[in-house]
Amino acid sequence: MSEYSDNELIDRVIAGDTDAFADIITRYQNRIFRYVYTRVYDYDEACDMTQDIFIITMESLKTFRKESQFSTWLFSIAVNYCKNHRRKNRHKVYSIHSAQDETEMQIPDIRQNQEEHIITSESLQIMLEELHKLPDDYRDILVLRDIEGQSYATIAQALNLSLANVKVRIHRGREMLKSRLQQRGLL
Amino acid sequence: MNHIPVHKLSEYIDGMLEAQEKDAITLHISQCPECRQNLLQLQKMISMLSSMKTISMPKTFATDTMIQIKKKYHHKRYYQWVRGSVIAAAIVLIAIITMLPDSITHDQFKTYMTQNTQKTSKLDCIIPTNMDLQTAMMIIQQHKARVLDYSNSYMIVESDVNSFSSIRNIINNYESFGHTTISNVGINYLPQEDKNYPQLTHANKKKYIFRLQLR
Ligand SMILES: [Zn+2]
Repeated sequence: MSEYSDNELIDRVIAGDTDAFADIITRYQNRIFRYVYTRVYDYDEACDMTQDIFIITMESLKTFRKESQFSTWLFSIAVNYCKNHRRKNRHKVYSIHSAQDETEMQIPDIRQNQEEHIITSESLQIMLEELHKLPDDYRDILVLRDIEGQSYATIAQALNLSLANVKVRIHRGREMLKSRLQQRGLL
Repeated sequence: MNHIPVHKLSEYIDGMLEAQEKDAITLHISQCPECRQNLLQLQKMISMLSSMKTISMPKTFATDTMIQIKKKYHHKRYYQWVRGSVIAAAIVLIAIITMLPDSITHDQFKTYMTQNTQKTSKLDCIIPTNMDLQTAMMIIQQHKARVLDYSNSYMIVESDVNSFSSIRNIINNYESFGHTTISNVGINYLPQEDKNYPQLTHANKKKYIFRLQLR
């Protein structure tokens, strides 16, 4: 991985060195992916969405003001993208009756996706399932806090929440997840 | 002290409590198996969550995405270029069309565009023709047009609108029907003098200056 700072890489991309963006992708792809994946719980779809997010980021790179951290800005793009994506999916559900949408009704083979790409243990699988089922507000924040290990302040900035709000959600979220995992016999 | 709620234990784990509250919880946990159990479970859950950091994307993701980005950018740039060049061409086209008499044929127009662009500032148009100098000179003379300049390869002619139109028709027919009909007519090679210059008959008195590009 390159030793350049985010801002140095961005400057290079804007100056026309498109390839420098590959370093940005490499640096952040898994973080963004995990966020997306816990939301949609479909490996392939999460890959596609993550790609879209980076393409959007690349396209709007010139609008990035270096007042905030690039990672925060990138994450806010991911958050917005996922919110809109979810809306799209809901819409799809409602248009299921039309024949054209039949292809979208196919049930994704979750097991295959996960076993192939990620899941190494059953407990992790259950964890993922329960995390996915949490309300957005709590899941997003647990992903950032406990999977990514981010600070309260960074999370507050990324999700545009007050610090107090972040604290409440983290602890409530953990409480919620814990009780669900207990019900699954995991803890 | 009552049992400690899980969210409070969570704060305890993250070290967010005031010393007093923290110490109280530490004490309680040491005495209460149930809360101790809860704390351990919470810690286990958090460490399991952190192990999910191993979830990652296919190794080719960055490369794949760069390919997509470059495709997109290539297209964008291409369309920008196309749009830019179309606009530029349109501007040139409009400029030329406004310079040209209405009924210049397409082929001639095309030739005009590809041929000499020098010396065009004063010219209304260039008419390529397979005529030789002798024949062209004869036709010009017949139409009372004025030869401003000539060589074996071109003639610069000035005329009024009607003459221009007639000359152009003859040239078009000449190209279509062969050369025999007018090739034997004798002509005067000399450029005409000012006194012979025809009266302009067109209402706007527009003079046409054009170049016959000879074979
Ligand atoms: Zn207790």
